[in-house]
Amino acid sequence: MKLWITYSAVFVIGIAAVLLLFNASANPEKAILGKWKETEWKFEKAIAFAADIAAASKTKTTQPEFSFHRAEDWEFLPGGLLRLKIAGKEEHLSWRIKGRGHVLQIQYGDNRIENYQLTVLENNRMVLNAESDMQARGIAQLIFERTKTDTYAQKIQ
Amino acid sequence: MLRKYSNSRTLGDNVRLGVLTAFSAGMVNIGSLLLFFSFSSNITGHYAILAAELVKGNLYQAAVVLGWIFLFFFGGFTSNMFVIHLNKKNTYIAHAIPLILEIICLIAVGTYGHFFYKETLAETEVMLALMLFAMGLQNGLTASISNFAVKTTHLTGATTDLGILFSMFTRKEYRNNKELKGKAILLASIASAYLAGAIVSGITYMHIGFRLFYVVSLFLVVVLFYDFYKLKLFRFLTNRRKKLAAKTIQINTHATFPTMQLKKETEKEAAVY
Repeated sequence: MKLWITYSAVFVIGIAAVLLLFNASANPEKAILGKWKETEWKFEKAIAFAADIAAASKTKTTQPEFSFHRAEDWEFLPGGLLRLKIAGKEEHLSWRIKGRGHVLQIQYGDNRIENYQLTVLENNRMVLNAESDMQARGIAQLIFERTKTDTYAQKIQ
Repeated sequence: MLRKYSNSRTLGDNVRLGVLTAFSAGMVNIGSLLLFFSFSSNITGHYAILAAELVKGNLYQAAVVLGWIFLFFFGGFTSNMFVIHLNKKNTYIAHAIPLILEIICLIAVGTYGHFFYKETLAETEVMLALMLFAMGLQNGLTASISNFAVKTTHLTGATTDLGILFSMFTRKEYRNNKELKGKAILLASIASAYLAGAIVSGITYMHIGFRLFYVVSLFLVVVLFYDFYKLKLFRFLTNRRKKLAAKTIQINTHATFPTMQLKKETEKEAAVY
């Protein structure tokens, strides 16, 4: 009897710890909703391959690989719709969050898929990492700031 | 593969069990990585990720990973509960139940993923949780019934042991040690099967997607039915032997009938088994 109580207590504590952590945190699928402005992008490991990267970015040889070269404003809408503003024009894509909430997957109309590591997702700041092994040898990092007019997160809360 | 327990198992039993379950684990692990961007059996990695997420203050991710680690632990716990509590009643059933549960989990993931998956984060996390529980069940079962000789869902220990064994084989007395050679064969088979499973999974995933989990389940069904078939065969042979023996006794009452041939046949069958 005592053994059962001990085992049950351990399991209950384990489950409670997980539930408490869930309760104390924001679901990335909800936290990402709203308008984000791309403020900066850079390559990590830039020291090692500075010349390559600088050349690649200047000649825009990496441009077709990632949207971040073109999009300025990203708007994540509920239901997995992503609105990108590119040079005044709008493009509609779909977005998903995968893994433990650490991968942002973006899908184009032609089924092309881009995966980004969701490194930081705070109230007003988001950092995405995109690994490019094509032309530029390094990890591209995109830094976003939340557009102030956004109210999506508040609306759904 | 499943009938025998602990020290009564032969190297062949362990190699067969190890190869088939490691192949399945390799498939599941790479399948989960490609479909959900997360490993389903790399628990060491999950511990490291848990620590990293806690340091970064990502409580949601930390909770998810903690839940997955708990489910892997719970899978091992459940497996061994069946093994130690049902082993005396029916060894085969005790060892088969965790495998049946694993098959159910994998088929559930395959079916849900194939027909209903909307790619939401909650669905992803629940399906990964099921896979981690399944891997915990498998690892718990194989380790438990093989006296901790066979662990098939991760290769850290196996690779370390292989490194140690190969260094030992630089000395003649260890090279000639049958037990050490057997262990090296077992570990090398497990590592190769895991790698093969991972490669097959990586190739087939592009064509069959979530149906991949049906293929994995098929391998586990082979593990399950291999022993079931052997048990049936054993019962069939035992019954036949008994019938033949009964006939021999009956015939012996008629002095003219040559009984020797029947006796020989019975002995042959016993030897074959």
